[in-house]
Amino acid sequence: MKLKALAVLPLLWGLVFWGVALVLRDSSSLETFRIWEMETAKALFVAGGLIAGFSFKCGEYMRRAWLIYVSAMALLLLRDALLGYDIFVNDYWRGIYKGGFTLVANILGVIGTWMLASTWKVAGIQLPGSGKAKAVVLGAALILALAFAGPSIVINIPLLMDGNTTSLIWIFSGLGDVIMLFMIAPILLTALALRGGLLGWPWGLLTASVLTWLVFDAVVALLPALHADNYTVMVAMETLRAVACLYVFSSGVAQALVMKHTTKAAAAK
Amino acid sequence: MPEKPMHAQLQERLSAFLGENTARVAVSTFAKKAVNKTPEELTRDDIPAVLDALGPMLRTLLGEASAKSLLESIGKEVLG
Repeated sequence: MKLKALAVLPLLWGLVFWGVALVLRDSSSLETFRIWEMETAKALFVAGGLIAGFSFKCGEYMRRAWLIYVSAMALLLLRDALLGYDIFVNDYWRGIYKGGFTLVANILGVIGTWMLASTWKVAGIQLPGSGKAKAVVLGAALILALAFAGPSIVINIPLLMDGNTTSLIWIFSGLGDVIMLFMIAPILLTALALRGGLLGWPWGLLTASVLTWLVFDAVVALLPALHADNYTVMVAMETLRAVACLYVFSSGVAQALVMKHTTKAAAAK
Repeated sequence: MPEKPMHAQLQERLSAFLGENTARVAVSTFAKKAVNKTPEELTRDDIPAVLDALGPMLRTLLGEASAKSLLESIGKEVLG
């Protein structure tokens, strides 16, 4: 029951955000609400990862994987918090600061995602599907990753050459996204391998998060091209970002609950 | 009623955590690895070795403490 609630929570959160953003559409409070909602969602992402990570003992593979995975978002939270203080000489240094944090966060994000995506190999799980089917899933993930996250890299390289250091954020973020989105394939296959079992829940919820990030990148790439207004782009982006973050929270809590349930159920036998 | 075969009992307990398909594949893989037998050939004497072989997989997915509790309870249940 708790696990089902964890699957619904991110969607409810997204719906509430969307509803409130609709009510506040022409209000000056919209931006404040957006920032608080976004930072809370990011904080819950980190909280979920910490809950999962610390459910494992020191030195265990999944502890390292979860903690590295969420350290990326923790760094982005720290970056956002420091940006609130006016400590930058000018926009050039502000761009370097944001770009630097984004680069480190994306490196950690890639390592963490890669570790989570490699869990099946470490555990010795056989992924479902024939070799051909797996290759198709990998190929599709790579094409989608390049299609959705690639354009922001291509667009921002010339801007960086012109001295716009803010472009660094989008380039590093885009590079990280291409690699992380590509790793959707093994995470999805791990969730499919464990479907029907309790462990299918944390992996299914993690898959829901990475798939939502994929849609997020698609929206970032496509909506401006479709001449959508700023409000529509913002609501779509923030709703998807919140759902993706909350699914990580749900996945982390589900992992901890499954472990707790296993120990409890085994002791009761 | 006849008792379920060893491998079926193992699969049933593991499928609650790993899902039916992975539980079946895991029992088959680790029976072969630990005692070089098919699941259907497993006897009571083989179970401890198979459970030992399942350890690393369960430790990775569930952590050491939960995996240990689960394997102990499966061992007790299957071996009586």
